Order: sequence, then structure tokens, then C-alpha cells
Amino acid sequence: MSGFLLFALTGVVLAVLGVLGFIAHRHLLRRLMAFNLIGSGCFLLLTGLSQHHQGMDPVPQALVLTGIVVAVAATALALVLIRRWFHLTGETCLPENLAQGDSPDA
Amino acid sequence: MVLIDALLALSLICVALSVLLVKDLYQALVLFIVFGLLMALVWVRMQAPDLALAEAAIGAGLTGVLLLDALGHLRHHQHHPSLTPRQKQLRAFLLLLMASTLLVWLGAAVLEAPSGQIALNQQVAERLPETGVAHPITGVLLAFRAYDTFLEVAVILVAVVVGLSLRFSQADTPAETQLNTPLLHGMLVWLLPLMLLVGAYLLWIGSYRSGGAFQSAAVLGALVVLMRMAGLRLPMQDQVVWLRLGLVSGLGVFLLAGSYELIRGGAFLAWPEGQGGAWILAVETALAFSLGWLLFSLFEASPAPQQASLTRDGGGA
Repeated sequence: MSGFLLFALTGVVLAVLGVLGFIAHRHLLRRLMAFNLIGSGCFLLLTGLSQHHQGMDPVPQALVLTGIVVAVAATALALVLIRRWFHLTGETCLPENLAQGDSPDA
Repeated sequence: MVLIDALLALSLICVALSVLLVKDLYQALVLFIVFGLLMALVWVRMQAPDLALAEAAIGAGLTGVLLLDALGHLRHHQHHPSLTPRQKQLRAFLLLLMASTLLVWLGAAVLEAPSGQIALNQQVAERLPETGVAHPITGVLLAFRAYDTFLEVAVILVAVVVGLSLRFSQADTPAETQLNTPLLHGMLVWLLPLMLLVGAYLLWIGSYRSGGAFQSAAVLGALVVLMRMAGLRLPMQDQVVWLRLGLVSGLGVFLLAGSYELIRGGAFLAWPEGQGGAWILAVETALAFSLGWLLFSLFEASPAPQQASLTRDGGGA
């Protein structure tokens, strides 16, 4: 097995872990980290799979480079929204998750 | 070498697992930064030094600062889930079932993926001399797929505008993110010139080796964030005009330079024949400074709730 394929499979595991964390966690910061894990997994999958077949390939690398920058922009925007939400309500979860069985001030 | 790859992959998965499983949020954030650093190592092993540079500066550095800063402002909330043990078991079972199905599915898809019919790397290598740059990734970013890069800068600009508008609509004092430690001030004296130099170097070297506008922008953005944390302000920072000009300059220069050939009857974002290298360098310079400023503004846009400076203990356990 080539290193590229190994990292592509690692990317699969990371993306699945990220999806799992995104569903299981309620705290918005944790969800944001899980979201970033999904992103990293996708980047690894994209680059690894392409390079496994064709060797070093600048096209997916350039795509992932822009992807990394866009991911940090998305993260920062999400943080602004989370902090705004916290500022307005004092909560770090979304209301539908609170109603689901969490008591907010227990 | 396979052993190193396997060890890296294993530690990446373990760190990702502990990011999700660890109880304390602060620990999870620190582990997430470690995850970013490991990713940078993985990119080195994937023969992608450009990505390693960007990941180390952005993924580990800037995202970490942003997350830690946000955690300092969100006072910790202890939630007591009132699910019964039975419900919890059912939930965990369903989640595991879903995860394993997804894992097997995606894994099988990766293993059975047919190899592509088009070898993009060969096409890039064949036509790279026409662009005027010698580094294939810069060539892809600013010549072959310049339109993608152009839109990407636009996306970041939109994110910053949304962030800043939320920030300004909130009537509170500017974020109190100052760390008034002599250590930081002492370090800055050494770090500022060095980081400026590294930023400029990365920008220049991008035309023929690993480096370029994005990596340079990450270093420059980190530089301004550091200055902000030490309480230093750039002289132009208080004037909204300069601030806005800095934000749009990258996209503006890109648009103007891209339109030049369009006006002369060519295609949008096609560089003039034979002078591609110079045009790309000019656009990259504008992009590096503007993107650095945009990345800093993302940090600055985070609104601070009241008593921001009193809750910087990292959230507690």
C-alpha cells in the first residue's frame, strides 16, 4: 500500500469521526472542531486519492490550499456567530438541542 | 518510510479521537492545535510542502488562536443531560452503527476507485512554461485556475464583511484581547522583523518554489494578530477608510489586472502574453497583504461580551 492511499484512508476515518462528533456533541465549539475534522479528512482524501493514482499532482494541492484558507474563514465566521449567540442568550448550544433533554441551568 | 506514514496516520486518528472524547473543552482545543501540527507533518509526507506551510500557519496557528480566544469569552456551562441510561445506550449504538456503515462504505469506495483518465499533473507540467512561473502550484492557482482563486478571495471578503457587520452592530467596547506581559513585548521586538522578512520571502519565492501569496498572508496575518494581542496598533488601523481599502485591495487588484486582457479583446483573467510572471507577482503581492489583513479582521471581528477580560481563564473544567 502506498503512503498516499494510506493517508486517503486516514482521511476517510477522520471525516467519519468528524461526522460522528458533529452529531454527538451539543456544545457549539465542539461541533465547530468536528466540522474542521471533516474538512481535514476531505482534504486528505482528495489529495491522497488523486496522488495514489498519478503521483505528485499540483491541481488537488492547489485546491486544498484554497480550501484551507476558506476553512479558516468559515471557522472564524462561525465563531463570530457563536459568540453573538452566546452574547444574546447565554447559551453554548442551539435551542432545539436544549429542548431535547438538556436542562440549561441544572 | 512506510513505518513513519503508518505512525503519523495512527497518531492523527488518535488525536482526532481524543479531540472528540476528552471532557474538558480547553484540553480539546489544545489537542485540536496538536492535530493541526500533525496535519502539517502529513502534508510534508504527501510531498505537498505548500500545504504544510499553510496548515502550520493557518490550521494550527490562526485557528488555534481564534478558538482559544473564543473559549476565553464563552463562560463555561455545565450541562447535565437528562437522558436515561437506556436512551444513552440506544444513542451510542445508533451512532456507532452509522459510523461503521459510513466507514466501510467510504473505505470501499476509496479502495475501488478507478484511476482517472486525465493526468492533470502532466497537462500542468506541459503547459507551465506558458504561465511565466516555474512553481506548478502557483501556476495552477493564478494562471490555470485563477477564476477559482479569485472567487475564493471574494468568499473570504464576504465572510469578513458579515463578521464585521455583526461586530459593529453590537454596542460594546473593542475586544479586550490584550495580554500585557513583558515576555510578549520582548519577543515581539525579535519576531516582528523576522516575520515580515519571512512573509516577503515566501511571497517572492512562490514563483519558483514552495511558497506564495497564501502562505505569506498567513504569516503577515499572524504578525498583526500578535501585535494586536500585545496592544500595539498600526497607525492606519483607526481610520475606517484605510481598513476597508486594505480589505478590498486584493480582490480589487485581481479584478483590475484580470480585466486588462479582457478589455484588449482577450479572456478574463488571462495574463498578457510573455509577461505572465510579472502580472502574477503583482497580483500575488496585493493578495498577500490583503489576505493577511482579511485574516486579521476575522480575528478582530469576534465580538467581545461584557467582562471579556475577566473570563480569560480558559473556561475552567
